[in-house]
Amino acid sequence: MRSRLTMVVAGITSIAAMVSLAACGRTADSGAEKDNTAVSHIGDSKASGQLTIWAMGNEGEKMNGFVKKFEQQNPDVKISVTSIPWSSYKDKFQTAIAAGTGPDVAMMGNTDMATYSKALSAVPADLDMSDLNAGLKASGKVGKTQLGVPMYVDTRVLYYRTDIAKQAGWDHAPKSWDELKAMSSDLKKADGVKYGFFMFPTGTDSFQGMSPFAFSDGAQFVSKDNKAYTFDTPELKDALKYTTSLFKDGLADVNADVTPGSNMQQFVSGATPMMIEGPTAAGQIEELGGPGFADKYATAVVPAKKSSTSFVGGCNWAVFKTSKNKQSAWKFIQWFAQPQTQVDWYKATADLPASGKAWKDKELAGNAKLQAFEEQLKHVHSMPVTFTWGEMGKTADTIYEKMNRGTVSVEDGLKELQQQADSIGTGM
Amino acid sequence: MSTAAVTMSPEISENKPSLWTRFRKAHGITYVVLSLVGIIWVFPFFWMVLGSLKTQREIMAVPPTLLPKNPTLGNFTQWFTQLHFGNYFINSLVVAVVTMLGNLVFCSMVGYALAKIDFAGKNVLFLLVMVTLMVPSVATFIPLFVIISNLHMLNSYFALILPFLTQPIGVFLMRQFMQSIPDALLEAGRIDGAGELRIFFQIVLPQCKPPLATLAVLTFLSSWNNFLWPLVAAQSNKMYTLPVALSLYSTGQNATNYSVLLAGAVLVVTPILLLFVFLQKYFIQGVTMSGIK
Repeated sequence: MRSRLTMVVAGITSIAAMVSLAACGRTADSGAEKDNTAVSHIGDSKASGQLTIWAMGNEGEKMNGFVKKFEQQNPDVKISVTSIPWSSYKDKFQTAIAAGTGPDVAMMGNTDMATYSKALSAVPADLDMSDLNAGLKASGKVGKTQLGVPMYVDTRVLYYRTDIAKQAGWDHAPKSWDELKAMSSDLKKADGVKYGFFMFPTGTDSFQGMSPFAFSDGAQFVSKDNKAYTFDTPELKDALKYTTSLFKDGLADVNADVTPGSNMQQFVSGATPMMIEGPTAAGQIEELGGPGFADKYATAVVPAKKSSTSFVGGCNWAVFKTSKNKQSAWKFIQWFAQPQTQVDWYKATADLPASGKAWKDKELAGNAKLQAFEEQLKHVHSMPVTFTWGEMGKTADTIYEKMNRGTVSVEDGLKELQQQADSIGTGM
Repeated sequence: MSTAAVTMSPEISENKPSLWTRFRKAHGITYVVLSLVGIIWVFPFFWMVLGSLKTQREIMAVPPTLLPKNPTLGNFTQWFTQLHFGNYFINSLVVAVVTMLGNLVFCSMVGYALAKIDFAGKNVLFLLVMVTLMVPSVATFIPLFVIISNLHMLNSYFALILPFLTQPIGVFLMRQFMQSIPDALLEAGRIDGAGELRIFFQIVLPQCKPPLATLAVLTFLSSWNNFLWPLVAAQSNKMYTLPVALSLYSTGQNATNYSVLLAGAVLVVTPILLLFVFLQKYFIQGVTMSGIK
């Protein structure tokens, strides 16, 4: 009796498992279906109805009050903002996409666009994007379809301590790779300085951290058609030979503490008076350094080889296919892309405007530390927009660490990286 | 009961015990070792409390300071004034308390049926409960979310509570304990004319204080600490619980606000500590009896 019952239960369980597997297959198919609900024209009418916006971290917090202005201009629209922790936004997006419960509008990191592209709706033709940062706009284009609209940009520039540089006999930022080396070695002679330059030798996104050197040497990580990764190139080899030599010559610390923020702390203490960092670093080091610290450092474009090209990050706005209010969603994004909105957003969050015209604003143009960012943004390159970049980046971090520590030569490391990249593929 | 392991057999008595012997008799070594281990265990907790009173600048300072130079309650006031601590605290409390009560009632009912009532397919049913224990929660995560979403329960307390209202580990715990209650006791009740409900509430449950306390602490704790489910199920900030809020406000894309994080951690941990202190006696009894912690 008992054994027969067990068998029945086992049978039911396995049937249930098969049914659920079949259901999975169907969902995957429908995800690839062509999107017939995309909005082709935004039009001039006012936005209306309910809009849900998802935004991460500080941006989510600030967005709550910020959207009031849009609501005033469009009295019939009601916006609710959900803020999502940066540390786990991917879980939130993945489950929402699986269940079809996504928001109308979402803020999305530029390297995530390809990953979630199947859940996103195409940008309408009449949304004017000519004023928006080209590098970031490119990251919002997956295959042939533009899915993202630049929200704010993020780029890396050189930060250096002017007071320590003066002690070491330098009155300007290093302009070339040779100057960076010479200055690093001079800085090491100043009081309290342990290393001249900070670079993350290992850890998440450490490979991305060296990308300004790669891009400045003309390297590309992916072919023009996004079909194949291109790591084993003379340009990247040259750039890596240079960056690994910084560690080998003791100008940068190969055993550096890689917890987030440790580079800021060392920058403020003066132990490592040069680093390549993004715009949010300014606020952080001024908080750590206390009053008066703002006069002790300056920013400059990254040291040049063939050019001075940094990497561009930042976030895009995207509209979910499941949204029932796409017309108004795009109206909101259109509003956000306007130069004046971009200036206001900078004032609220210190996020760098994606709009070129916004940089003409007095507050931005008058800030000496921002000049380097404005200049740098003219020469930037984004990380590859591929389905597998997340995985690829992790692999690159691992091999990058081995090269930095000297356990594998740059040549062998690049060969290994290319091999792994070929087996992973771009998925495009 | 817990002291039994520590007690040693009396030493052979000497006329003039040496200092060493007296030290050993008074469990001196035991206390020294226990204190050392205790300090190692408690230190991170103290570090958290001390850190919550420091500014971000002092936390990041090298060399690090142990005691805060200028103790400040600024981190806490930030939680209460700007970061809506009350809202998240109430959410966490409602979810944890209801989840805990639900588990206490339903798990003990199911456990009672599986332990003491005879019906066809009882063992298969118990087997099924045990099987669900072995399915990793990541595998059921998205299906569960889809179900809750299809029930139109997202963004309500139902979404946060319902999936955890009766947990198999609790059923297992209660069944194992109730099996040790002698049948004669229940039969005596039946002879006196008590119904099944009355036997359950007036005879069985009062015997079950240790496993109930264990279950209470376990379910309260797991609900209180649950991060991923509330993050995904809550569709607006108003429905977030404390762990989600902690992550939301303290970790940025490239930076961590340690002072806010530590102050928040203190606020999150305190209720759990209080709960444990009050239920400690039962909790340890429950752990030793059932072998589950």
